[in-house]
Amino acid sequence: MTAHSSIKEGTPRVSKTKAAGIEFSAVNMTFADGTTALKSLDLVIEEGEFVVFVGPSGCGKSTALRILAGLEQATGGTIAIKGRDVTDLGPQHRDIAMVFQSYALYPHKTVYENLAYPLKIRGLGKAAIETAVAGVADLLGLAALLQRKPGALSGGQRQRVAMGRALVRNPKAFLMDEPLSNLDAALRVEMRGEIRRLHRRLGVTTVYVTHDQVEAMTMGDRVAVLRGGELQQFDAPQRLYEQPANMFVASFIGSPAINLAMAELGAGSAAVTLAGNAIPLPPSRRVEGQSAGPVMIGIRPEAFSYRRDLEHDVSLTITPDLIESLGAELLVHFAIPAASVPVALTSSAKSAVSQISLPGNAREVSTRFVAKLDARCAYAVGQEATVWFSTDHLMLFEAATGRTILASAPMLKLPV
Amino acid sequence: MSDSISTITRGSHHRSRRDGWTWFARRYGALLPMAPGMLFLVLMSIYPTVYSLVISLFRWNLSDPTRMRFGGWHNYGLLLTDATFWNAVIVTFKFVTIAVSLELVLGLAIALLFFQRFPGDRFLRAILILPMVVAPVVVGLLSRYMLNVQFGIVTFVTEALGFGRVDFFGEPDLALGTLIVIDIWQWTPFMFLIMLAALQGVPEDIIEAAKVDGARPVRILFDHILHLIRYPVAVAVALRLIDAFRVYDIIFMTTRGGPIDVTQTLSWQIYDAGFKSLDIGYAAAYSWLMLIIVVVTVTLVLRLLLNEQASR
Ligand SMILES: Nc1ncnc2c1ncn2[C@@H]1O[C@H](COP(=O)(O)OP(=O)(O)OP(=O)(O)O)[C@@H](O)[C@H]1O
Ligand SMILES: [Mg+2]
Repeated sequence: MTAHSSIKEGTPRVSKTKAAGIEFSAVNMTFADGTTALKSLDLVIEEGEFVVFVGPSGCGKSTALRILAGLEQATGGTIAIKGRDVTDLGPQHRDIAMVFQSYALYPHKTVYENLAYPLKIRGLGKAAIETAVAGVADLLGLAALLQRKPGALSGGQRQRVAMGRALVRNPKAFLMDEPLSNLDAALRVEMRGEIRRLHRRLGVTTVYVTHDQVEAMTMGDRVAVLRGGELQQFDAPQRLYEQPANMFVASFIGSPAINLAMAELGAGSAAVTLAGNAIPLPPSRRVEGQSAGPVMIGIRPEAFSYRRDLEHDVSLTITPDLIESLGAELLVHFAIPAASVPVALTSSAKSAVSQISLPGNAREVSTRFVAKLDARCAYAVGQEATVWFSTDHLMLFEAATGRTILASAPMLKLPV
Repeated sequence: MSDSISTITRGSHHRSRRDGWTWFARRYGALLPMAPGMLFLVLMSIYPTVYSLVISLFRWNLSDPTRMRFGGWHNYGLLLTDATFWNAVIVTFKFVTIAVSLELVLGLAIALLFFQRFPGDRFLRAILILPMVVAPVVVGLLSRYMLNVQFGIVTFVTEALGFGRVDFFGEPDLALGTLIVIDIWQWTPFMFLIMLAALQGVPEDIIEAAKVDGARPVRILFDHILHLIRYPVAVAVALRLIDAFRVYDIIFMTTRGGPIDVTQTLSWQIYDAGFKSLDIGYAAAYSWLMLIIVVVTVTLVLRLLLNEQASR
């Protein structure tokens, strides 16, 4: 099927991986002013997949998407869409549809004309255009707005028109650059679901850019986490959460963010010492590549429990200094007497990594933790209490690089 | 006690007078800083306008300034039945429409070229706008010398190319065209500059969206860019129209209305009537007719540029 369609289009080169919907191969991007936005990006997106690019501001998400759309010419590497090398093709010839963050609606055209435009360009007949536009307008609830100009629409309506303009034809891929970031919270959640439903229905390969990790987790079949132009990890959301490739991914994914602190790995990796408490590591929890010395420890807020059970058998005595109620759950904040991790390993910028000063010296020996506990715990601020967790949920990261040397065991429940 | 009462009375008396002044200042105070501007406007603009309207209704020749008789529509009647007036209307319209539309198209074309950015474009852009900063009188003088049949450089070139001597200003078929070319040479840069600024104001994401939607450059130009720059374009066209209607300097320096009457524009004729024949009432009526023509033309052209594109 794929081979057939590529022959029909007369591809100059056919890529080796046939199932690939979109393929980035060693894509580099350095702008004229010397800014490097992407470093050797390799990524294979399967046909029909919904992939989210996520990362902090300036990490190169939009640049990657724009290169894929053909709006930006990469300084190195190749791009293939459905097995066809499109590296040197302009956006007109790539047969992709894009939803811009600004929506980029044509202000001088009515909603109808905006939706009809891609079809008009393709030379469709008037009747065919009318049918297609009516279909999309029904799907997105735009039927009553067709004669308006974009200037007379609300933000949410504009967003729908932008979606509609992408949906109206049958492109090889949908690209969306933070399409929901201008909407209010409730509408964003609603549209999130709607976009997912549309994707399931149409099955078109979709690349979705966002800086919001919740959006990434909830929407993506797979999520590519970028930082400083480098791909950190490309995995299913659940795996990003449980088995992050490094401390950056661990801290970027999850809300509230993972608790991180400096710790000491005992000889033979038999135990890890956090704030003076030695936590024995069972033989099933093998630390990769490091046997002793300073490490960074990570425990997700959701990994804590207020009571002991089979899955929560290590205790930590805490004194809550702030308790926030989420209704069914409480966010219990406390300090532990351990050094905090170097900022360079969790911040968005990649540059500072080489010059981290290891802790133990002037660094303040206290780190803020937060535990997400069942509201039944009835803990109070200032009253000493015990929280429980399991070594299964401990993560360890190499002190110098932040690389994961011990991931949590699978089967944590997802944060809501 | 009585002391306090008297204080109150005195106070209220005082206050009421102060209130009157405050009320006045509040109501009309804002006029004070505006007064110089208003005075200037009245003296320099409103009074002359009204005065010219008044004298256009009089039969008044400055060769005998004391004889000023009310003529009503006399001057206007004379004009509308005068063949030279209608000739001037036709000459002016030829000049204005051809010059301004070519300037528009050329200016846009050059602006699109420069919008692409290429090495050396800043330097070239600076050179390109030079004609605009030369005084029109100087342009007229220069072209008079350059196109002179006896010793002009252009004559030298046409002779060298085998066309012989061409009298650009003396040939009835060529004179108006030559003036148009000079106007285009001088004022295309103006169009170019405004178009370039307008192009730079076109939102990039809209162009990108059109590209992704599959539009090629020519379609993007006609489907989007021309619509998005129509307001600055309309302003530039209006300015150029008004300016071209007034064309006088280069005619004065070169053809002086000739040969015969092929370059007798409206403003040239007004000058002729007012300052050569000293028929000041007639010239005033002429000016008013020209004003009406210019206003109507500019309004129609603006409506065409803005409405036609908006409704598409
Ligand atoms: N045209 C350009 N010229 C120079 N540098 C650029 C250009 N466009 C982007 N950059 C730089 O490239 C880097 C990546 O930018 P990009 O727009 O891809 O970030 P992003 O991940 O989309 O961020 P955000 O979430 O803020 O949109 C940034 O450092 C940015 O400053
Ligand atoms: Mg971006």
